[in-house]
Amino acid sequence: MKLSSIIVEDEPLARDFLKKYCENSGMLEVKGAFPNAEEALEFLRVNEIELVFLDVEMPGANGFELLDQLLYMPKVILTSSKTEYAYTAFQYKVSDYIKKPITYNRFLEAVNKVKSEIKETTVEASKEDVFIKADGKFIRLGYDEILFIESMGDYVKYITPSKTYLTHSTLKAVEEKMNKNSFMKVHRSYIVNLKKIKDIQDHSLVIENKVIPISKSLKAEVLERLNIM
Amino acid sequence: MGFEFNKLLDTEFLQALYMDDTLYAEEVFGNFLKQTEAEIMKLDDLANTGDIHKFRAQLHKIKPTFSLVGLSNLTHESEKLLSICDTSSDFDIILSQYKLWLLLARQWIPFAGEEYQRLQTYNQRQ
Repeated sequence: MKLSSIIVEDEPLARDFLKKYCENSGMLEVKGAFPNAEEALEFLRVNEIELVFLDVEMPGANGFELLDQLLYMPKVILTSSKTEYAYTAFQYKVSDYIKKPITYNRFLEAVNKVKSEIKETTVEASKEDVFIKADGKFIRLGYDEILFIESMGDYVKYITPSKTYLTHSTLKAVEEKMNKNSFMKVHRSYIVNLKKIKDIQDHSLVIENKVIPISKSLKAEVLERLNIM
Repeated sequence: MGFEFNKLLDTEFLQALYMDDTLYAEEVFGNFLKQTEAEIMKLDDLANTGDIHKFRAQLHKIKPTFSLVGLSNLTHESEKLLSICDTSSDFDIILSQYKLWLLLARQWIPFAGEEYQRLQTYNQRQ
């Protein structure tokens, strides 16, 4: 399957080159090519893209400023005729940083790197269960079984429709290990399975008749993660 | 036998860039020739207004395009001029270096023009 991608590059020749490379690779579908960050941002606000080829220095906002404003983080290949942005690029965790002008082989190397990263993420996300230590043994819990996880001081409770499991852990430790596609921290005491949410109100959500508070600071992120029409 | 670029150009880089796609090379050389004159005129206007920031941004924008037609020496010279822009606040120094840069650009860009014609001829014969 082709990766959806966009190109953000102010120099027309460089933009054409990237378009051509994307077509030739057979691995990418170019959904748009933009001469500045502002137009790209407008597009990215309403379209979910897997890969962005992003120039750093452009008139108006630069590439890093565009990344600062994104609501989600696609894979990014930075392109620049300078190497001095490499450290900043590293901080933004971009997939690759290519010095312009770009040869086709270097382009392919970067795209293959992105494809490997995406494959690893998919493998990670496909893990379907977790082992928890409760009742003196390790118990396998399918992600799909878990409704939510509640913090109780030095313990956390895993709530499933049939049973509650109490384990010695912290919510922070649990959050790091859980599948981030399905689970999300919505409050300092709660991680919820997003697929189990029945309804959502101003400051709370409901899972199986249990009302769970949503932190004010996390509300926007929660709404962003849900498919709200 | 495939197309051989003029040895005065950065043939190694051109080969890596286009491999055997001479039709695309012709297209890029053509676009370069169409666009670069206007881009240099813009740079020249900015040099005359003395706006270092805009001048630098324009030079940065066109810098990598020279390599696309094998004029890697001009890309390199542009890098040197950018570095002067970054370290000097005296626009007269920048301007004098820019004039040298412009002379080089005027000397070398015609080679890209000649190569464009060679590519056209080669592609027509294929």
